[in-house]
Amino acid sequence: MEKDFLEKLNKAKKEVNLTEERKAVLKSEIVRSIDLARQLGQISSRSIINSLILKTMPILAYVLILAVVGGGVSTAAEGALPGDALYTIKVKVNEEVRAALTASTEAKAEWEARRAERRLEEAAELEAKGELKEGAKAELEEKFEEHAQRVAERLVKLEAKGKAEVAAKVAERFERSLEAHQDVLAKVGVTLDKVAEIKLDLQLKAAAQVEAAAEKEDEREDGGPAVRAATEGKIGAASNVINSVRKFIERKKAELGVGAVVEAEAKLKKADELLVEAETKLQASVYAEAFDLAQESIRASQEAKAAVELKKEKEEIELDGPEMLEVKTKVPGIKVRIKVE
Amino acid sequence: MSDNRQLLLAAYDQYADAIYRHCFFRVFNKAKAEELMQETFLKVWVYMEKGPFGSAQGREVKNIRAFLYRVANNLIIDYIRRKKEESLDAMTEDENFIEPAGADQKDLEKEVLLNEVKDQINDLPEDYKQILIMRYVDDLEPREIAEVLDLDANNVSVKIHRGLMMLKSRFKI
Repeated sequence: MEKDFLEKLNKAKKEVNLTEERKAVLKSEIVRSIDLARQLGQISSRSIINSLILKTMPILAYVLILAVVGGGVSTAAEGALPGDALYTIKVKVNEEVRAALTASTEAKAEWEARRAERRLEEAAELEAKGELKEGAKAELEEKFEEHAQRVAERLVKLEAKGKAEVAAKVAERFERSLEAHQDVLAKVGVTLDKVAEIKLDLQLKAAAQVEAAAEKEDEREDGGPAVRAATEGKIGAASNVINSVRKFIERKKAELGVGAVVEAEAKLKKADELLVEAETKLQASVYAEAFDLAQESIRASQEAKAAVELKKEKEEIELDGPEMLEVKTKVPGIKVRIKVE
Repeated sequence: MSDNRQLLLAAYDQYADAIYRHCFFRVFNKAKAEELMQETFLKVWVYMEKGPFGSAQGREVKNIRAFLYRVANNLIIDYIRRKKEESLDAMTEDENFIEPAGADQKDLEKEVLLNEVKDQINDLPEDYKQILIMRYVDDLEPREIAEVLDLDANNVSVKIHRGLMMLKSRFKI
């Protein structure tokens, strides 16, 4: 009975061994990490630490250094700005280690979003000190773009996995934070060319998604579990879009005329109704129709949002307010309004 | 503080194989088991040098063997949790098989054996799995397991018994 298992286990455990050579190699890696960490604990010159860290270290040693000198170098580096000796540690060690240690796509997206924000905060700090020079500006702009792009990639990945809800949550938070940083964004130099480029990028991505959806068309007919999951994902996405648009309208309400609000809310109501229909079809296992209804619901939500945006732009021009430029970031569905200087 | 370094390396010579084996039977992946084993020793060194949570106050470790198992166990649990999140995410099926070691008959038999053990043991809940592996792979006594896991020795004995019963009922072995 269970003795068979124990015999098997007993036999198996004898087969699992480190060879002497392997054991020695692993030991030497531990020794190297320990010695390096000890040296770093004693070294005070930051430039030496910089060069040591950037040259040769395995990720294991990074983690160890954070543990050992955690109270010192790596924390000190957290406040570093472009041009500081410790800035490299902040960006290349602290942030990369954290990125490497993050497992889920959601957490990775969150972290990249946070990194993008950190670049903006740095720009703001430099600006406040009157030290936002061209070099730092270009560096921060480039890094910001890079992080935003990575957020976009993760969001697309999340959507593809049917985790539209999570994607929407991350996107919304990022969007709000970018809104809070709009002055800085303009200062870092998001140019018109760049905006055009980003828009094109978004359009291409959207097109790719449409194609993928078309490919699924045939599959949808047979109603397998993958089809059900895809439909549920679509419905989840539709529900997210409704929620974000509702919040968007709420936020803009104060700035809008009654007409625009009524129009947008009517469109949103339609989106809501379509979603309910989609859910009913899903319950009845009519997936193809449920999928299409969810798609229509998303379209209605987008129209609601567009109604607000159009009206708003018009009003701003009429009011002769500061010229506003709507910048779509590389993150699908995320736009930032910035003042044009 | 070079004492800690020596202490740790002596502990490595003595226990690296056992900790590696423990990690292997928990994750069934050679490279991951090596990594977890290394991390275990490094964590213990950091603890001896810096104390818990980087309090900068080094701590003496009384029973280094039990402490190594405890640290390894925590690292493994973290790893399994992360991996679960990720695989729910990505549905990757890597690490499902123990990689073939070679083509000859003996390697093949070994592979089959390990895969059988893996299938059976992986069917148990994690807390039973850890205790059975400590008992039958690491040959720890129930009271030693109790020390590692901060449990009562009787409780450990009960869980060992129950774990075996589970295997029996599931596989009718």
